[in-house]
Amino acid sequence: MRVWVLVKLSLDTSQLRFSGDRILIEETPLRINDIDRNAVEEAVRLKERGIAKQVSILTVLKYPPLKDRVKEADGLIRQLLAMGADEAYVVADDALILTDPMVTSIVASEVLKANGYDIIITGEASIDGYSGQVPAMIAARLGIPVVTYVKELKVDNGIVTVRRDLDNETQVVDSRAPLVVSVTREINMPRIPTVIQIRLAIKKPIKLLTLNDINVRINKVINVKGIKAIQVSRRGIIIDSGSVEEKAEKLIEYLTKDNVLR
Amino acid sequence: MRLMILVILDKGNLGIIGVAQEVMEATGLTINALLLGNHEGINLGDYGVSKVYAINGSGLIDPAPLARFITNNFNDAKYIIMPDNKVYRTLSGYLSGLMNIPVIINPTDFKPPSFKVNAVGNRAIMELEVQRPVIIVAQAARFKPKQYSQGNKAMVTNVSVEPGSLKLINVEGKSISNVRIEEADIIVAVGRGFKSKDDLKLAIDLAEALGAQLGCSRPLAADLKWLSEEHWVGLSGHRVKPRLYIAVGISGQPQHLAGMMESGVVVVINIDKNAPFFKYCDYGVVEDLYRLLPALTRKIKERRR
Ligand SMILES: Cc1cc2nc3c(=O)[nH]c(=O)nc-3n(C[C@H](O)[C@H](O)[C@H](O)COP(=O)(O)OP(=O)(O)OC[C@H]3O[C@@H](n4cnc5c(N)ncnc54)[C@H](O)[C@@H]3O)c2cc1C
Ligand SMILES: Nc1ncnc2c1ncn2[C@@H]1O[C@H](COP(=O)(O)O)[C@@H](O)[C@H]1O
Repeated sequence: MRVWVLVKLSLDTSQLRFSGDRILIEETPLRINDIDRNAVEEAVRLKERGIAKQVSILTVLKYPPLKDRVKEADGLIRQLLAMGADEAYVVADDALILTDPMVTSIVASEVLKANGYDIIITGEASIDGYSGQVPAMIAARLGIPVVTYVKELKVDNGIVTVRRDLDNETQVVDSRAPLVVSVTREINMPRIPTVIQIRLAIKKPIKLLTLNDINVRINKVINVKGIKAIQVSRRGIIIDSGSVEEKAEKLIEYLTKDNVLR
Repeated sequence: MRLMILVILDKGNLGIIGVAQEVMEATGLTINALLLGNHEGINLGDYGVSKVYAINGSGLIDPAPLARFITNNFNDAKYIIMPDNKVYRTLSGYLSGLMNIPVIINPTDFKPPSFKVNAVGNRAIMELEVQRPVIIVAQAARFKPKQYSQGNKAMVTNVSVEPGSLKLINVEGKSISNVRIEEADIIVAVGRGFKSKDDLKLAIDLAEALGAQLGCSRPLAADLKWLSEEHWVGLSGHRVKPRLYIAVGISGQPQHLAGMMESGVVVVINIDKNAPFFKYCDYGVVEDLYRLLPALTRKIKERRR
């Protein structure tokens, strides 16, 4: 089977840079969307079990400045190749900067159609966009089924059996490839590649594509009119000295003064 | 072609009609409803819905057939509105792919065609303008639909969709409590700093002394299952805004912060003085929770006598 993993290079929300109420997107580092590491791990396990023949990574870059981000992407994607993926496709184009998930799905489904696929694995949601829309959007565009929020995945005799973690219930669902699967953080523990694996990954191919290469034109349907940071200022009073009793007392004293204890 | 609003819902999510009503009032479009599952005793006419299409059965295991049905029958919908849960979020994505229209998730403010949504992991508000028809996913519980007139019967048509290609093998229920953490006034939230489920007793005692609800980080609900998911705070859990939020043994990763940013006073208790949460607190106590919580609980009880 040909297995794909969709990986978002998200803004690292633990390292956001601000200027007043502006988020300095260009200066905030990228980070492999955490749950997409779980997605890669699951794909690599399918390969180790002899089910996947080839594991390909696909990423659509969203953040400026494009030139620097392409370089940054290279370093990040190598980590995933070191985990055991075989190759990667990076779509980088100015027309994709700050576009919405629908655009991601248009681009991704074109790359997938051009290359062939059996199982497409994504994360349940990205740490920055947090929409969880991309997997089902891609499935619809490819005309194949989708199973979301998967916390266990088995492939046996061509049948894909998953356990889905929904709000009020857990479902066990059977399907057949081709399909899209979105996985949760709880599905596995992503491996940490060894130094040797990292060195070997340098030889694996990363293919850079523009919209021209895949014959896609984008009509922006959503106009972003502004992004404002939510900032809350906190007092940041740290109680780190004294005995346990004294610390507890100090805290109660502050909270009493603030009138938050009844 | 007459444009309209299509609201998709089930018995458990009637609040979502409130969103459709706001859009109706802003645009003058009429509301049609697609009601999934059992619909006995529900008259959507009271809420200003003109036509109801009732779909029985079909637990939405596979969103594809329903999305195809909507695409084929409601291509005059300008706004397609549905509740926010994992099942509907899968449907919304599939529908977006088939209809080639965007999805807006949880708008905090909407004056169509302008919307405000949370962005960048809930650390920013983004203002958008959408020209095309759009799918809106919103939290049903946050809206209270108005009853416009009593006894105004909506026309109900029964429809059916073909089964999908996914096969449901088994369903297991989840334990659910009636905690409504979003409405809590004080929250004591617990994280991986607790070594066992039994140790949560320390936090439960503190919560009792304070009249607080118990919250938790994702691993405690999703991985360890020490608490049910109603307690889960964060980007993928509940958004809370209590007067007082006390985080115990939680490191303060951005996905946790995303759920409690709007709290009043924030207290952080952590043994590691470098825990990121200390940068986002009003009061931070650097201490072993196993030593601090009993002392804190005792003193709070004493104070009340
Ligand atoms: C897309 C996505 C969505 C997510 N959504 C959420 C979400 O909604 N909510 C959420 O919480 N997380 C979420 N996460 C996970 C999040 O990134 C963190 O992994 C999680 O919040 C960590 O939980 P924790 O702080 O309890 O555990 P840890 O990060 O392991 O922290 C435990 C803390 O306890 C402290 N500690 C240890 N022993 C003691 C002691 N004796 N006394 C006091 N302190 C002690 C440690 O110093 C440490 O800081 C999400 C992740 C992703 C990728
Ligand atoms: N720009 C992107 N490039 C590649 N994959 C993406 C991108 N955006 C989202 N995805 C995939 O879709 C999943 C859900 O993301 P989202 O819909 O943004 O919450 C992620 O976990 C990724 O697997």
